[in-house]
Amino acid sequence: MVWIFVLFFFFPKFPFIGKYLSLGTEVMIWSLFAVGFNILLGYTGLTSFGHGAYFGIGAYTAGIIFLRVYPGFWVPLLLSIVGGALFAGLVGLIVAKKRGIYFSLLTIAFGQVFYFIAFRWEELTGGETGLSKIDRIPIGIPGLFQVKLSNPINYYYVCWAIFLIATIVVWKIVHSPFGKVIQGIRENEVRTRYLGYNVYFYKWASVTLSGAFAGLAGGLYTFLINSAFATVLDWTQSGNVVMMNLLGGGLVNFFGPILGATIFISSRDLLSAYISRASFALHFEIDWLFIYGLIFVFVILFIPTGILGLISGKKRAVLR
Amino acid sequence: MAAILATEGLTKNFGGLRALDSVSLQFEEGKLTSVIGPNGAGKTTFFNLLTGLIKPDLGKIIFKGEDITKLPIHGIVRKGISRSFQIINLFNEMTLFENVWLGVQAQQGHGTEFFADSDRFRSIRDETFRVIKETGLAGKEETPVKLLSYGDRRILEITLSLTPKPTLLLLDEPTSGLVSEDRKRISEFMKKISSRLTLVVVEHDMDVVMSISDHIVVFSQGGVLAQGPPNEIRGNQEVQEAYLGGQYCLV
Repeated sequence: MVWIFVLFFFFPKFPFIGKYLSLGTEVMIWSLFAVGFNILLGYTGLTSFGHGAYFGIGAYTAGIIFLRVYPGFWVPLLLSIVGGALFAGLVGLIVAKKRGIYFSLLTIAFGQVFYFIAFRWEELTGGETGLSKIDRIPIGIPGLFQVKLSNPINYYYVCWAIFLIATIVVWKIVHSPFGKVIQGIRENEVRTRYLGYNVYFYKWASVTLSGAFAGLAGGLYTFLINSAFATVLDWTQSGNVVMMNLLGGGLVNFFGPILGATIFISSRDLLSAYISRASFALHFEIDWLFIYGLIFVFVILFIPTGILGLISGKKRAVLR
Repeated sequence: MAAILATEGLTKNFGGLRALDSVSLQFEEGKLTSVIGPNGAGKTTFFNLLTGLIKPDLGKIIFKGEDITKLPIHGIVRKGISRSFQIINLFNEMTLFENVWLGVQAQQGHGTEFFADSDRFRSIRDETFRVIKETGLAGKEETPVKLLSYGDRRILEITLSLTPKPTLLLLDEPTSGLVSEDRKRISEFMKKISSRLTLVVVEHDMDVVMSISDHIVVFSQGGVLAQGPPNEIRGNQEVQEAYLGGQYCLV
């Protein structure tokens, strides 16, 4: 575990790639999202295709609070966690009654509802133009010390610290008695009920907790790009986080989501650059989504337990 | 004798099929009751209804004087009714230890601690080891359940149904698929636990049924055909004809 964070710590000092600082920040934000999401996907065994919505709600919450209520950093960020958890908790009341494909379909439906609300409710969300001028104001203790977050390197390390803490929190959760129960639900929901557990509560809690981490990631993302757009709520965002988990091996390894997010975000940026160049040369439009779809199919068909599953030789999802 | 469990006109339809037709039964406290009957007679449906897996279309279930018909599974389990499954139903990818741990953890009222290291719960740990030792599976704690022998998994199936510490235990074909040596082991085990709780057992092996039961209930086509002590059932002409159909011999 330690070496992952050591790597991220020294990333800005790396030769050649170190200069892509905001890419590094984005990778950590998505890693945080994916690690939290894995409470639901890998540990509880429920596939949500709607958690992009809570990422988006976190992003908007941070933006709206900053612009209208309190132009700080910590308050909007804390409320983005609350926002993600609150809405995931409300939706969870309904989806936690379902399992399998019915669960997934319902999460998509709710995700789309939030997307359209964000798109249409212009007064609050800015509609199509979104929200902008969400500045990173300095943090610190007045009179003692101050950190200028507007400097990308400082923001990188704040994200690093939050990412570290969030990962430890998720680690604690999945290794707690609660973590044992959700793994029981993944393995055998009926038997878990017959041991006396209120499975509905545990599924709801799992949806809500992962929603809280999604909200936090969304808040950090808003401050990274200094704006919030409805596209952060798009269903492809929900698909992305599932994809990162599957690709990296979140079904077999706690750290799989981090590997997946790293590969996904960096290859997306790289590939889109290459693809647009190739499209230009070929006089033929190739969309990044096309490549994305191919990768998705490839992963599902040939490496269902992801890269870490392939390396460790695990053919089935067993996560501890 | 006081009935620990009573059903009143319990009825369940699956589409056009009446799986259970107005079943009213009483189970006496401390007794071992066997439920027999041909396949499709409604025995497993009866168990599913009693434990809340499915809800009846009509009728009531009274446990210790309380109507539990509308309770969810975990509510019924916490009241003191537990069951085992005809088809082995375990946490296959987990180890034997983890399987029993989950049961013990629930019984001790834990599970909602989000932020506590589960290894620190010494009482769960000690009890888990104790339960495994009692079942005779000690030494296999770290074996994934899917790699255990069929007989061992059968025993674990019953063990998991005991971890909620029920006062009423329903066992659905506990000896199904076992060789005679294991059958003996399990029927002796049932005799042993029947001294401290009320047992209801669905069983096909007539030797087992006749030797362990205080009371026998015969199901046929979704209803109760007959009930009584073993020797009475053994001599019942109607049971011989309707249920056995010449396939088995009750003597």
